[in-house]
Amino acid sequence: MNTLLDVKDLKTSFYTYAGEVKAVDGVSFQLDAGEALAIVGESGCGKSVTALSIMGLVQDPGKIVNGQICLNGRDLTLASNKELCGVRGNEIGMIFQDPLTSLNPVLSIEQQMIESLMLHQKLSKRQAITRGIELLKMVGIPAAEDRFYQYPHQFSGGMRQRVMIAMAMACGPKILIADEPTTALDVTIQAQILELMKGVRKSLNTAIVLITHDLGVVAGLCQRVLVMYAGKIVERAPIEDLYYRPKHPYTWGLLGALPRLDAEDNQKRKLTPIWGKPPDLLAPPPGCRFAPRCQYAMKICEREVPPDFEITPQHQAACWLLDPRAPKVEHFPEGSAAL
Amino acid sequence: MDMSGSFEPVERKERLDFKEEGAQRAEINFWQDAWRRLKQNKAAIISLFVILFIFGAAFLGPLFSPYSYTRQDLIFQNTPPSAQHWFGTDNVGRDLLVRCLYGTRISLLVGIFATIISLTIGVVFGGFSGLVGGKVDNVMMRIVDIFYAIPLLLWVILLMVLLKPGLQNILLAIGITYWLSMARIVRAEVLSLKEQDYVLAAKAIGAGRMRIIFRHLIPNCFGPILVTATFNIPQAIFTEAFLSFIGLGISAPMASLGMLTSDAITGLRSFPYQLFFPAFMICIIMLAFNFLGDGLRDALDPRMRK
Amino acid sequence: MVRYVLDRLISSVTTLLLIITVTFILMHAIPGGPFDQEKAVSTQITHNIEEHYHLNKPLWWQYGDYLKKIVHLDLGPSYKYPDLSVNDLIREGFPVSASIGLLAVLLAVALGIPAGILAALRHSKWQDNLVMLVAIVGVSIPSFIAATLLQYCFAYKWQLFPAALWGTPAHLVLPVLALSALPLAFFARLIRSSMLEVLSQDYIRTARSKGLSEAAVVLRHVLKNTLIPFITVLGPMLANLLTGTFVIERIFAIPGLGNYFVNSIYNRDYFVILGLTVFYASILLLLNFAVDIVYALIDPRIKLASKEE
Repeated sequence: MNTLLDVKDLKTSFYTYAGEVKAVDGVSFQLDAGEALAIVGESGCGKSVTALSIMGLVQDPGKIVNGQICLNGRDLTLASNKELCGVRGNEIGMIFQDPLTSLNPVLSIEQQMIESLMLHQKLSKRQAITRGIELLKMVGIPAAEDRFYQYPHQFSGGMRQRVMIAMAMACGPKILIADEPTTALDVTIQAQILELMKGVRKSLNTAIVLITHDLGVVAGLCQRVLVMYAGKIVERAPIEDLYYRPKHPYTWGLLGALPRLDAEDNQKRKLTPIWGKPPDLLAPPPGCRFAPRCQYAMKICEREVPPDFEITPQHQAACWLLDPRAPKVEHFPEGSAAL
Repeated sequence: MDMSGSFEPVERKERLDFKEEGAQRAEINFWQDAWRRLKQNKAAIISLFVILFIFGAAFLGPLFSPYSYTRQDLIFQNTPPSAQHWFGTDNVGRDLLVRCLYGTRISLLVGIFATIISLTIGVVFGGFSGLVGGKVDNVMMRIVDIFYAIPLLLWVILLMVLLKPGLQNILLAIGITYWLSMARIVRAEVLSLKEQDYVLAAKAIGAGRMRIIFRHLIPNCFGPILVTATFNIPQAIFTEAFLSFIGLGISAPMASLGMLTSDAITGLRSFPYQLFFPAFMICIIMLAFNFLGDGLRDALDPRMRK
Repeated sequence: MVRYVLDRLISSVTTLLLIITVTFILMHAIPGGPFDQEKAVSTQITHNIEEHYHLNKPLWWQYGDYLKKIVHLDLGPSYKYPDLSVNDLIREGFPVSASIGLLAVLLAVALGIPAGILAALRHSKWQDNLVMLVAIVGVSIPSFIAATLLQYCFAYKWQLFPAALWGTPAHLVLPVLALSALPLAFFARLIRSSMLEVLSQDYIRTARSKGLSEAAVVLRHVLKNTLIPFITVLGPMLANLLTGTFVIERIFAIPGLGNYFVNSIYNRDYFVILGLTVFYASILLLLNFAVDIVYALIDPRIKLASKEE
């Protein structure tokens, strides 16, 4: 596998009247071609800002202050605006959380669909229309020829998200970034959209970055998971490791807050919320950012930022509990089927 | 640093403290937050002081002047501004400064009282319409639409033709005309608030209708009402000036800023200062209220909240 | 679409009917007739006059008669100028007023919209602050003051334009400037806030994520949405402009409809007041009707929406 996207020490801040908010604070990860990667965390942890940084779409007063975002070896943080326009929608497609507000209400699907095809693929209008209808068919919209000319308000939420996927996939991007693509949808529709993304990935070999707060959504689609907390990646692991051998107390918390149908000890098990709130990013805690909410916090956690501890070459977690000097915490997260 | 000692567990109490500190910070009262934002708006704060100053000058200023607004002094006709007459005199030798201050007083009175009248009617009408809803609401809003179809100023003019000129009638005419926008805003606000979850929640725990109105709806409508009222004041002041300007307003020898402006036009070529002072006063008053209204709207508009 | 148009049409006509009724009642609620201020005339003459204008008939008869005349587009006579009807006044005055009004709107649109767009695109920068400062000053200066100040500066002091009257294009300059100040400022503020709202919408982020250039995003995705609220206020704005013409025409002694209207108020010439009010109302309702149609053409959501306001 060759590395498609390489994000190194990305820092994105928002400069508000109250001071600098470090929304993303030193995030690094790699994405291989055709791979599906999940970024998981609570709202406000910086996962969406990470995605927008990759797209070069961080708006004022936000700014990328540090780091590299290399797409096939080309650093996007150094690219001009014009070059970025050539990347967006062409090499990286993106879909958003709320399909109800993400489509322009006064333009027809046709008008919104053909613009990227004409821009990036230099298709004529007629070719773009033909291709657009094909794309609508691909994402499973019935009567695509008719619906192509309709307006967003004539579509249901799930159908709009299909349209969004069709638009994002229009130019056959190498990466599809999906920012909470199913959060605003009904559960049954969620499953359909995930199925669709899986299908798209398989047939077009598109790498997917799935951003979600819902670990349950991740399982069927992704191979690797990054867990983000307060602007930092706290744990990265292949999906099985994360579900069965999580190492970071925050991940334990996330799994504990997740209802499951397959666990055998369902009766005994209670859903346990993570108490407290994420820290104020204007003045984050000096040590581990999760320490104030962590049941297992130690004195060092409040003073020193934990380094990444390697459990396996694929699996790392930033937690002092993994230091050999730390007391052994026996934790079998209630959420996972403990082995 | 003694690293080995650092791997001691943190006691729970310390953590709880931390949590509460974080929680308190988020709990800023809505009005405190609005006030903080208003204070940041320099134009609005300056306007607030200008308005206070104008109020003081208009109601206290004439006490310190040796002239009255009616005293004519034919020796000093049309004298330009001087140490004796700061704003000069008019064509029958009346002191323009005092007349301007009296005019400002009338403008402010009209602005405040007409707004109070229109506010009362608008809040009651709009609130009722929104609360009752359904057919009644439809009919009531239809009425508002009809009056809106032609300019409010035209209605005021028609009313002033019907009523005799005079301060009370101006207040009345403006008051019973300019409530329409207030009614619309209050109704829209009540309609959306009615659907809010916390109102449903209050209903669910058995709060009475009156309690919901006074405890939940009115306080939450207060922001938009305040903003609309602040914009209604310059509107009313303008209307009075306009009416006086076309001769439907205050009757002589009382002075209103609109009337002073109108009077100045005949002598504009020779005595432009007679226009400048009242015109300047109107503009300053309007500007101050508009800036304040803008500031209030920005401070109170929940959509601007981060 | 047909239903929508019919709906708007019916509602406009009922509104007009109600406005006629209300103004008719208002005008006839005034104690005393229009001839009371004249010097004493014999009862015979009074009787003849009343006979001539049907003032001795019952009110409901007069109302019915008035409605009948309006259907035939006859707005009645003038008491003050017996040889002129309200229709004559409109025929003379309206083209004059309309030309000033139209030019003022065009000026306001041509300058106000770009200024608002500039302010929104340079949000919180000096361009924005400047536009907003000028706009709030423009909203705060009453039209009659702007007009008199312009008259003083440009006509008396610097003698660049004629001070008053009507005839050459030069006569248009000052009235149009004075009249357009308010709508210009208003449009700039409105377009700015509307555009800022649109710029913060999710679909703009979608458009950017497709790789459209900033110019394409603004042209294709922002402008159309920005103009929708602008169209909805065009109607009320035109109404505002109209009352503006009352004083502007008076100050510049322009023989327009507004000047006639103010004169008819001085003269308590009720038929003219009533007639011109009805005329103004019809014009405004017509314009609002047109605005509604344009609105429906621009915003695809309207066609399916129910008839709720």
